[in-house]
Formats: sequence, C-alpha cells, structure tokens
Amino acid sequence: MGNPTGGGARRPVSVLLAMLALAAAMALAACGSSDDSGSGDEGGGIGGDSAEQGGSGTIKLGLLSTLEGPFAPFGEAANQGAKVALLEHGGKLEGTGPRDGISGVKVGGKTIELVVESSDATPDVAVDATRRLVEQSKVDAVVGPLSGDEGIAIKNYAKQHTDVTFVNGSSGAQNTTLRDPAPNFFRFSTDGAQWMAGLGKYASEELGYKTVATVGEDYSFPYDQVGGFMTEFCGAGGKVPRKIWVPLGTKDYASFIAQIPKDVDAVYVALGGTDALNFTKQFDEFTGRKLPLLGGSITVDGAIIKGLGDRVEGTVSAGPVAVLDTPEYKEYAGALKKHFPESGPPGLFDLSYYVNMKSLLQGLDKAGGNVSGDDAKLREALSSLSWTTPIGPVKLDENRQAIANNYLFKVTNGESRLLDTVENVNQTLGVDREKYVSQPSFDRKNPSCS
Amino acid sequence: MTTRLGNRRTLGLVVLVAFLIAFPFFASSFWVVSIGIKTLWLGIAALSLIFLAGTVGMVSLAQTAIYGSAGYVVAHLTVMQGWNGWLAVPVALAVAVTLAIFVALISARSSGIYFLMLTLAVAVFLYFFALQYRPFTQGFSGINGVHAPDLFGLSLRDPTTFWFLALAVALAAYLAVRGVIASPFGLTLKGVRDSAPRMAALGYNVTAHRVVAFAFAGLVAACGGVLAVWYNGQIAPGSIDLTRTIDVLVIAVIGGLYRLEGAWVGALAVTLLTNFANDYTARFNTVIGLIFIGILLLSPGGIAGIWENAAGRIRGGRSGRPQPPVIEGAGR
Repeated sequence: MGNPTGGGARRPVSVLLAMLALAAAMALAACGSSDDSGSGDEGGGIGGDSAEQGGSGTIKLGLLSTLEGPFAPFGEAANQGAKVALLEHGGKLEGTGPRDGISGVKVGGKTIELVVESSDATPDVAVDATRRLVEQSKVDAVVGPLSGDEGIAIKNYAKQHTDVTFVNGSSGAQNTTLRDPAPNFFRFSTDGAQWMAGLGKYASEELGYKTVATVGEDYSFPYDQVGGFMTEFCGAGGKVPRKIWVPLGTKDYASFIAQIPKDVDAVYVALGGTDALNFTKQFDEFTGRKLPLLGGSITVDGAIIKGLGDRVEGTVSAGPVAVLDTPEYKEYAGALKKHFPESGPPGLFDLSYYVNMKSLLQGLDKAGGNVSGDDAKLREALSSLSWTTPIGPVKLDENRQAIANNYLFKVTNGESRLLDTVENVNQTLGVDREKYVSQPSFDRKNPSCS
Repeated sequence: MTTRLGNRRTLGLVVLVAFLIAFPFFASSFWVVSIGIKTLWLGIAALSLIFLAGTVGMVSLAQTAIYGSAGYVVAHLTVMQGWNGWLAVPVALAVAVTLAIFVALISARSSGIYFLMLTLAVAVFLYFFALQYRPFTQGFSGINGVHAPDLFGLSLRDPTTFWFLALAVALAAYLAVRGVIASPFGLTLKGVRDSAPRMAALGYNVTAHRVVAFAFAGLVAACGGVLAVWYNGQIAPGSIDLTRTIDVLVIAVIGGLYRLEGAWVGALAVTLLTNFANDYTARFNTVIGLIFIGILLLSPGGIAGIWENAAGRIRGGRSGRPQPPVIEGAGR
C-alpha cells in the first residue's frame, strides 16, 4: 500500500484523472494566443509573448517591488512612493495597503491601470513576477525592481521583451546600465557607486587622510559602494592597503579587525544598520583606538548614532537622499505624510520609486499616451526628459542612466546633517567613460590601490 | 472489470498525452512558460524526493542543493568558460551525481531525523558555498545570462520547443524511476525501507543500496536543475536557499509522497498558487501554508490521495483512506 507503484490498476486511473482535472483547470484559465515569441538574441532564459499594445484607451503599468522576505518593509515604502507619483496625476487610492491599486489616473488622454507584483528580493522570483506582469497581465511598462541583483536579472529579461518599457525602481547595481545595457531599460535614480560621489575627495582633500582601510559586506552593493569611494579617493592620491569583506549578518568581527593595518588614518565602513554598530564597538575594544570612520550610504542612520553617541560625532558619509529646503521636497514629504500617515520620513526606497514612476508618467504625457509598436515615442520622451525631483535635478546619459545630485553628510550634535552637495554626478564619477568601462567590474579585488 | 478499468486507464492516458502535446499550441506563452515548464522542472526535482522518501525511506533536504549544483556547473561552464551548452550538461550531471554519492556516503548510515539534519546541513553548506566561492559562482549576484543551447537547429528559447524538451525529460525521469522501483533492486530498496536490520540479516548491504538509490535520485534532481537554470536564465544563491529547499518538500507532500505522479500534481498546485493566490490576498504564503497543513491533517497521500479517497468511496471499494508512506528507516 505505502509504495509508489503498488496498488494495481485502480490507482493509475485515479491519479490520471486527478492530473487531468488540474490540467483542465489550467486549460480553462489559459485562453490566449500562441504567437511567435518576441525574443531577442541577448539575455538568458526563455522567451515569451508580451503586450499587444495600442488601440485601447488604457495603459497598463506594472509595479514590481519586494513585499516578501527581509526587505518587505522597504517594498511597502517603495510602493507608497510610486503611488504618490500616481496620485499627483489625479489618482485615487483604492486602499492603503501596499498591494492595493489606484484608479482615475489619466495620462495623455488614457487611463492608467496599475498592476502590483512582488518578489522576495531573489532574482529568480523577480523574473517570475516580471513574467506575470509582461506575459500574463500584458502591461505596457514596468516600474521596478527594488534591489541590485534583481535589477541585473530584469535587465536581461528586458532585452528579450523589447516591446515593453522598463523603468527602474530603487535597484542600484552599477552594471544594470553601465555595461551591456538594455535599450528599453531606463533608470532615473543613481547607482551604488554614484551614491559615494564626493566622499573620497572630501576624505583626501578636506580630512587629509592618506590611507584608509575598507570594511564591507560581501555582496554586490558594498562592492559598488567601496568601488565608488575608491575611484575618487585613489584618484586623489589616497591608498587603500586593505579591503575587508565580511559575510552578511556577521556578529563576531575579531578575525576581520585583526586584518586591518595599524597605520591607517581611517576606516571606511559599508555595513548596514546594526552590523555597523557591532563592528565599531568591537573595533574600539579590540584596538583601543578610536579611529575616525567614513560611512557608506546605509551605514550612518539614527540607530547607530543613538547606539554610539559621541563616538560617531563628525563621521562623514554620502548618499543620494537628503532633507532639502526646496518646494519639490516639501511638497513630496507633505503628500507622503498625507496619503500614508503611517509612513516614515522620505527615504531612499520611496523616493527612488517616486522619481522613476513620476518620470515614466511624464514620459507618457509627452508621448501622448502612445505606447504602440516599440514604444519609440515614449522612449524618446524618456531619454530627453529632465526635471527637478524632490532630491534635485535629474537627466539621463546615453545608457539611459541618471545624472543627478549626490549629498555629503556629517554627524553634528547627534544628527547626520547635510554638509555639501555634489551636483550632476554622472555614472563614471567624472572619469573618462571609455577608461571607466574598460576597467574590471567592482568586486572583492577591484579596484585596487594599495 | 479488469478490461473496463484497463480501457478507462488507456483513455485517460490518451487524453492526457493529447492535452500535453496540444498545450503549447493553444495556451499563451505565460501559461506554457511560467506555469507549464516551471511545473515540469519543479516536478522533476520533487520526483527525486518522492522516490527517496516513498521507496527508500530517506527524506532528503539535499535535493535542492544537488539540482542547484548541476545548474551552477551549467551556468559556470557556458557563461564563464564559454562551453557549448550540450557539452556542459553531462559534466553537470556527473558533478551532481558525484556530490550525491558523497552526501550519501556521509549520511546513508543514519536514518530519521539524523538523516534529515545531515542533508539539511548539506543544503545550507552548498548555499554558503555558492555565496562565498566567488571564482566559481560569482557570489551573491550569481551567474547571469545563461542560454539554453539549440536543439537540432531549433532554439530552446522558443517556449514551445522548450516545453517539449522539458516534457521529454520529465517523462524519461518518470519512466526511469518507475523502472527502478519495479526492478529487483527497487524491491530490495523497499525491503530496506521497511526493515533495514532484516535486510542486513538476509545478507544485503543496506548502506550500499541507500548510496546507489541516493545517487540515482541525484541524477533525476540534476536533470531538473539543468532545466531550471535554462528556464531562469541565471542562477544565484537565492535559487538554492532554504526557502527553495522547503518548497520542494512542500511540493512533494502536497502532491503525495506515495505516488510518483504526485510530484507534478504538487508542482502544478504550488505553481498555480504562487502565481494566482496573490491576486486575491497579500498573504499567499499563508494560504500555501494552510493548504499544506490541511493536506497533512486530512490526506497524508496529498492531492492524489484526496482524489483516490473520494473515488474509492464512490466505488465502494476497499481502498479507503490511503496510508501515509513509511518514511523513517524502521529501526537501525
């Protein structure tokens, strides 16, 4: 009885029938055509049909973020940001939950229909969710994803579906747009290396550091952050004798701290949240010296300032999001608070999704809601778009990557305050493009200037 | 009676085969790719677990790691070394089977929860290996841009072609596992499952049987892994993490641990749920969890078991509630 083949002739009949019942359910729901796939030559995976566009009076927009797994809170903020952009175009919330839709948005004379999908921050699931948006819901454009490695996977998917326009969410992997970009992927937010603009130069010229050791978590985002920092710092004559990579979620840093040379002027820390707190405490106990710190874009937050107090006073960091005294920022912050009273202050995720969604809507407006064929009009409109976001002006380069402001911060009186603005940071951080692209991608080893 | 049942069985089989062949021609590409093909490769992975659990009594959590290793080898050789895709496949299968043998040599002497923990350790170890051994796996970001090679001049990027390849592999895996179970070797495995000490007393080398069975299951899982990496177009540590490991176990249990066909029934059910449950609720993981618990409580034979139970009652036959499979090695 309890074995896979036993049981004679009866079981196979029943199981076949069970499978057929499921298959029939599949067939009933699967009513669509099987046109030739619109797959290109590049990217990975399998092709598939995408939108049959034009004609009708609605434009379908897909919104992809991360509503499951450890990044779920960021995904909720991201969707709020994207919805603020839709609300500014006359939308009405159908509910305050992250998956609730929005109605009544009109762009170029057409009605926008929003389809919300989510991943758990792994590339596999992000591609599956995008497939659902593009091949099942037949959206005309996708806004997303949230994290860096998802972004690389979606870019590869975008190459196969050239009739759909993809606009980034908040993912910041450099190679989504720097190397081998997709012609239909647009990013109106800056990447992880751009987020470091200004810090290396400041450390070398203003703070006078000659040698800095770096500590970062061992995955792509900190690689880009360290790479961005070193591009400037080494360019200004600084040396980085040692780059240290720790696994995500490390609790005991002793063996890593032992590798940090004694004679460095400062330690650059690209760790998130409590990791940075633990590292700094252990570093001070271990070495007995309070070396100055430099912070990555997600290193210096309220928790670490509260946890370390005076120890981080004067610490300089850099990032793309700052509290600005501009009408655009105030308007956005007000709208976010009004529509989503539960939300925190404007942050990286909601602002990135806001800026990208708003850019797409403006592009659609300029193109008169025309998304037929290869979206040529929309893409032209997006490529030439330039506007002032709540975090400063943005425009695109030839790879459809944002050129935007970056901000330097310094912890002063227990608060991370705006120190300086680096204007119009491009993706190559001011280095000649050919030279920048020809160097190896940022990783554990590269760049190097020991 | 027997003839009638035989006729119905043939009819059911013909309808199923006709449906599977016609499927890519009338369904949209989303259904062919995201539901159909995904069901096929997930089912193959679950098949290897159902074989191990149902026939040999080894509930392995290492199947994801093994199919992931095959996927990683294909991705590494084709993308990073520029190999031809078809050349990479036998290497990938060989690596996965070698890994399976290695895992089995470590764990085959244990049973029950100890075996479960050892295979879980392998799954976690491979996840961290993928995360940290960058020269081979490219770390956290994984290997992107994996192409399925052409087959007799037909592009496997085309959903219809890929569907038939996946279908053929699934069918071959199914028949192979059936064949092994029906063979004298399979009978011995069942003997090992039911009473290892008795088989040992009869002069069988229990550990060797378990190792061979595990290696065979590894080969089946590896076939699913190769399809999976072509399907996804990339592989990253996230493709083989604990969530994915548990997914395969859930699929096997939902489908029914005591029927090989249950692998695809479970895979289809889970694929449909993950794709469509979130149209109705934000808590679709909870929905899957509740269904899982419901099936464990009501029908240990999975979805296939529910059907048989109902059909058995209607016919008034003796095949009432199906019994759960014996999954722990009885005694030591």
